[in-house]
Amino acid sequence: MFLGHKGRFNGEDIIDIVVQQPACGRFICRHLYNFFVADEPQVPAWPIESPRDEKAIDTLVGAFRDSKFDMRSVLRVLFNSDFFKNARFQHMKSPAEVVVSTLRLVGGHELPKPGYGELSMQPTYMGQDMLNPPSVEGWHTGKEWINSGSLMARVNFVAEKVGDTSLPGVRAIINRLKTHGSLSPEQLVDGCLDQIGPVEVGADTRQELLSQAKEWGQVTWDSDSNAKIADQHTAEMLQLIAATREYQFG
Amino acid sequence: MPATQEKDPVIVVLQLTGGNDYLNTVIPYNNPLYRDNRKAVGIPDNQIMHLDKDYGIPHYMAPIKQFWDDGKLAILHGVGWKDSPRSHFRAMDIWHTCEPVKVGTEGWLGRVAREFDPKKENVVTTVSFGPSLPRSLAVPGVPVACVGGPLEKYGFLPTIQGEQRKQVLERFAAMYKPAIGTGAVMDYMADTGQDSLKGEDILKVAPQKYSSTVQYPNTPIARKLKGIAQTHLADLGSRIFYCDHSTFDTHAGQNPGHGNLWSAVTEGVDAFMKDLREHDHADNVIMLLFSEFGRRVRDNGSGTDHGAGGVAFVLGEKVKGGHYGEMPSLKPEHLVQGDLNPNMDFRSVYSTILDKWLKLNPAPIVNGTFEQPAFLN
Repeated sequence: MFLGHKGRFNGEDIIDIVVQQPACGRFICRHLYNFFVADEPQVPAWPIESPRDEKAIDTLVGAFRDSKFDMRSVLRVLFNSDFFKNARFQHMKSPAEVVVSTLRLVGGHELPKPGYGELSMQPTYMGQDMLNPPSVEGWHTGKEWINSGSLMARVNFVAEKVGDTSLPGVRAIINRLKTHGSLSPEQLVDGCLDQIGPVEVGADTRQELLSQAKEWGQVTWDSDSNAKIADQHTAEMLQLIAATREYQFG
Repeated sequence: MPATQEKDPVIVVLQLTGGNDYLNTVIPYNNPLYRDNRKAVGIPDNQIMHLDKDYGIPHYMAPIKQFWDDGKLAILHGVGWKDSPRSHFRAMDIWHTCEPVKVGTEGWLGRVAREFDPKKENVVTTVSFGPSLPRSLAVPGVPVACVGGPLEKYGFLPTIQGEQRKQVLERFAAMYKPAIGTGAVMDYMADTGQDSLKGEDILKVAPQKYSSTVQYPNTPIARKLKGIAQTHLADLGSRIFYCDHSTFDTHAGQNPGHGNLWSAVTEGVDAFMKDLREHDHADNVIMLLFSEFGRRVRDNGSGTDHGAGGVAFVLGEKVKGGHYGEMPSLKPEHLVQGDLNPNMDFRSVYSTILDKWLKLNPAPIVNGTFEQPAFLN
C-alpha cells in the first residue's frame, strides 16, 4: 500500500505515484518560479503562505499535468509567459549566480588556472557552500541570502573583480566608454550602469553615484596621464555600483 | 573590567545541525535495549567513558568529561516536543522560532536582543559566526553582525584604502539610507548595510586586542569559537553569540562520522572555555548545545535515521551540572513511530536560560509558560 495505491511496486513505480500527487506538481512549479521568475517565501512557509502569483503557479501546474509531467513543456510555458518577461530584478542573485556572473563579466576565467581553489570558496563565504546545502531542503533563497556578513562578502568580491582594470572584461568596458573620448559625470554613471548590467537603480542611489562622479568632473582619455585617471575612476564607479542594493538582484 | 564587578550574562549557542544521535551521545550502557537496537553503530563498552552508573559518553567526546566531573555540565534529556516533525528544516525552524504550529517570523534570540538593546545602540549585541543568518536571531529591525570569514577581514571594500576609503564608505552609507516606498526587502538591505558598516568599526579591534596562550584546533568550529572568544574578551557589549557545526545527519557511515563531529566540537569547546578562564572572562558565559532532533532508536545497518527526542547540553562556570529530566523509555511499546518520545519541551530549556540567566520574562519570548529544569541558580 502506498499513497492509496495497492500492489507490488519497485522504485520507479513509487516515483510515478509520487509525481501524480497534485502537491508534487505544485511544489516543483513553485520551485521553478522561485528560481527563474521572482523570489517566493521560504519553503517551510509554503503550506501556509500562498504564492505571490497564484495564477502563474496554476498555469505552470496545468502545463506539468497536461504534458504528463514533462519538465521541458513546463519550462517552455514558463519562458514564453508574460510573468517571466515582466519580472526583472525580482530575484535576489544566489551566491553562485553572483560569482559566475561576475567572472563572466570581467573575463579571463574561461580556462583552468591557479587560484581557482580560493575562487571556489567565494560562494561559501556568501552563504552557499556548493554541493553541501545546510539541509535536504537546500538553501533559503531571496532576502535570506543577505545578512551583514554575506552582504560584505558579495560586495567585496564583485568590487575587487570589477576594480581590476587588467581583467579583459573590465578593459572592454573601459574601451567601450572611451570611444566617447570624454564623459560627463552623467555619462559616466549611466555608461557604467549600462555596461555592468544593465542595472536599474533608484533615484537616490543614482544621485549618490552622480555626486561621486561630479567630484571627479569630466573624465577624458585624451592624454596618457588623463587616461590613467579616467581608467581608475571608471573602475571605482563600477565598484560603487557593485556595492549597491540594486546590484544584488538579477 | 575588574572581576569583582557584576558582568552582564552572555549566552553562546552552538547548534549541532543535522539531528544529533542522542543515544550515542549519552549512552545508557546498561540498558540491553541499547545493544539490541544498535547492532551496527553501538559504541563498544571499552570505548565508553562512564559518567555514572547509568550513562556514559563515547570516548570521542572525552574533552567534555572534565566539565561533568567539575559539576559544570547539565545534560537535558528527552528534549523535543509533541508531534515533532522528522523534517530538518521544519524542526530547526520550530527550535528557532518557538512556533510548532504556524510559521514563526521572529527568532527567540532576536527577541532577546531586542529586549537587551531596544534602541539598537549596539550593533554587535548579537554576533553570529558563520556565513548564513540563523532564523533564531532574525527579528525585523534587530541587527546581527554575521562574521562569515576571519574576524580580521570583516569590513566593506578592503581593497580601497587611504583617504579615498573614507569618501567611498560615506557614499556607501548614503546609498544604504532607508528610503520611503522601496519595499521591505530594500529596507532590510538598507538596515543590514548600515549596521554592518557600524559593526565593522567596532569588531575590528577584537583580534587586535587579543592574545592568548590557548591553542585552538584547526577545525571550522574551533575557528568560530576563537572568533567568539576574541569578541567576548574585547568587552564590546556583545551578549549573544551563535555558531554551528554540521552535519550530524548520520544516515550512513555513522562510525566514524559521529566521532569526527563530536571530537571537533568538544575539543573546540574545551579550548574556548580555557581561553575565557585564562582571561578571567568565563564566569558570565554559558553555552547551549542543541540539535533539531534525535535519531531513530534502531540503527539502519550503517547509520541512524531521523528521530524525535534528543539531548541538549548547557555548560559553564555557573551551571549546576547533572542530569535533568529522564531519558525516554527505549521499550518498543513506549516509542513513537520507532522514536524516543520527547518528555522535555525544548522551550523549557530556553525558559530556564531566559529566567535564571538572562533575567528576562520567558513567556513572551518562547510563546508560553513552561516548566523550568533547575540547571541554573
